Amino acid sequence: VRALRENILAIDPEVVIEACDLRIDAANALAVFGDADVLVEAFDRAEEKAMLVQAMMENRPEMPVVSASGLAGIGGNNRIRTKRYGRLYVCGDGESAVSADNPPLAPRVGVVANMQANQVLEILWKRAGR
Amino acid sequence: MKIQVNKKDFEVLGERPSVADLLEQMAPRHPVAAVKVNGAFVRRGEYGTNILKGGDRVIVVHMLGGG
Repeated sequence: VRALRENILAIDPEVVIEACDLRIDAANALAVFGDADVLVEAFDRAEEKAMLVQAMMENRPEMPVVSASGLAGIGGNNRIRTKRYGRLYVCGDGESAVSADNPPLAPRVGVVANMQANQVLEILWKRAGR
Repeated sequence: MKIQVNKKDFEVLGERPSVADLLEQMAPRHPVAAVKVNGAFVRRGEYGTNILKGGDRVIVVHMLGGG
C-alpha cells in the first residue's frame, strides 16, 4: 500500500490518501470502508470479492458497491460491460476467471478498472444533482 | 418447481426449497456475492429460511477471480 500511495501521489499530489496496511476480512471491512461514499471492490481472489461485496450489501444498505468480475485473458472487448443489480454494479465479462492458462493481463484489467472508475464518477455526479 | 435464475428457467427440487437449497442444487463453481429474489436482496443468514415459490425470479451474482 505504501508503493501504491506513492504512485497515486506522483500522479496527483492533492489526493488525500489514508493507506491501511492490513488484510481485509469480514470482521474489519466495515471499520475500514463503512463510511465510504462508494465502495470499489478490486480484490484478486473470488472468495474475498464475494466476502467484501456481501459485507457491504448487508450492512450498508445505502452504499453503492462497484465490483469487478471476469477480466482475465485477452480480447473479447464487446463482452465486457457493467451489470447493475440495484446498487451493486459488476464490471467485467462475468465469465473469464483468472487461472494458470488465463492470466490477468494489463489491457483487460485496465479496461475493467477504468469502467469501475467511470461508474463511480457517474454515481457521484448524479448524487451531486448534476 | 419452476423458477427463473439469472433470467433462465430453472427446475428447483424439493417441496419447500430455500435459497440455500437452490444454491446447493446449482453448485456454483464461483463464490456467490449476492442473491436477489423478486428484486429484493437476501442476507446470507437468511438463505436457509427464505423459501422460494413457483415463478420466483432469482438473481445470483457470482464473483470470478482477478482484479
